[in-house]
Formats: sequence, C-alpha cells, structure tokens
Amino acid sequence: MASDAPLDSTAHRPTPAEAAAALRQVRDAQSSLGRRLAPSWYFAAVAAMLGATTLSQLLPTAATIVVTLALVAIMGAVVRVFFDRAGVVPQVGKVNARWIILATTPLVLVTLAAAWLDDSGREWGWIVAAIVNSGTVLGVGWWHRRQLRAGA
Amino acid sequence: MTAQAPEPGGFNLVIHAPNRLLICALLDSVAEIEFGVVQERLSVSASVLSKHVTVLAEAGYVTQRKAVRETRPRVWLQFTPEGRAAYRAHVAALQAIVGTQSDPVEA
Repeated sequence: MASDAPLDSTAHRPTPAEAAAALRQVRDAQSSLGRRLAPSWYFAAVAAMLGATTLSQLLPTAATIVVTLALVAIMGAVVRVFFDRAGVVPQVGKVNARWIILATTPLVLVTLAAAWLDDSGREWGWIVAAIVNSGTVLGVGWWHRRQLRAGA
Repeated sequence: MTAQAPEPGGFNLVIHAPNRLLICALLDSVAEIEFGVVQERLSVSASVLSKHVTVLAEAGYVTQRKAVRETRPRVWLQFTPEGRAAYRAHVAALQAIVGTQSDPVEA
C-alpha cells in the first residue's frame, strides 16, 4: 500500500490528479478494513451463546432472568475478545443499519414465534428457535468467510 | 496543541502526508484500532508509523492508549473529535480540488 516514505514528503497543495489519487488510496485503505476475515470460533461462540440464551426460556422465570443476564454478559465478553484480537473496534454509527436489520429480523421473528407457541403450551418451540437462531449465526459466519475468501 | 494550522478550506498539511492520510482514513472508519493493524495496512516499519502517529498526536488529532494482551504490550489509536473533524474537512478539500461534491470515502 503506502511506501516507507519520509515524513512530510508531500507538503504542497495537490493537483486534481494527485487529490483524486489520494482519495482513491483513502477509499482502498478503508475498504481493506472491511475485508478482515473473522475467525470461525467467533461465530461458533456467538451461536452457542444465542442458542443457550434461547433455551434458557425453558427454565423457571427467575432462573431464566439470571441465566439470560449471565449469557448476555458472556456474549459481550466474547465480542470484546474478538475486537481485541482483531485489533479493530468498529464505530457503532458506521455499522451498516441494513445489515443489522437483515441479520436480526429472522432471529426476532423466530423468537416471537417460539414465545407464541409457548403461550399455547408448546414449549418445544424454544428448542426449534435455539436451533434456528444458532444455525442462522453459523450460516452468516460461513457466508462471511466464504465471501472474503472468494474476494481474496 | 496544534503543530500546523489547517489552510483555509480545510486542506491540512499535517494530515496530507501520504502515510498520515492513510492513518487518518483507517482511524475514521473505526472507534479504535491497534498500532500493529495500522502498520500492517500501511506496510511501514514501526518506527516510521510511530513518527507519523507522534505528529498527529502532537497536533491533537490522535490519542494513544496502552494495553496488554497475553503479556504483550499493545498500543491502541483513536481519533480525537478535533482529529476526526480535521480529517473530514481535509477530505472535503481534496474532493473540492478534484471537483466533486460526492463523498466516496463515506460509501
């Protein structure tokens, strides 16, 4: 990418061509951060936590609250470890809202369906929801890694 | 403290040096980034990167946070609000020089 150039080697106002080249380099540098491959353990850990959180709905109410809070805290720690190892902490505002909605909508719908089934005495809905939610995260992880490998 | 005042129109000589522009581009995309990741992306030596970061820090544009992971010391970099504003003004100035009002770096 950039050379090991001396400091302040370009201390003049650029021409339009130089400015365009600088903007291209900026764009390339920023897009290169988005092409970092997330490790497979990250998706497996998030899938396990999400599945366990969903299954915790089968526990008595008080236990559900405690277990859910504990699992959410563990999930936060997993995400923190991931950022720490990746060496990049994203800006919340920079995360594409479209992707967040696409990723979370199926999870919310499946969880609502499980809650509706539970209300009518069909608690097995939580087991199905746990499998679907975990599977969705693993699928997203597989897709993410495949896309980045294909573009490498 | 400010090492060099930006020119009118947002063009900023502190930021415009090629490596520093790329450092700022990376910093603008994230909340915080580790020194080693920036070094890898820029393909420069640690000492060169350190000098550029020092220039940005002395201008009040970047802060450094030291941390330890698995007994290894690491430095995390982040923009100050002034740094982010100066970088964005500089990019806008570059776009004005090119003659476009679009924002390709925010896509």
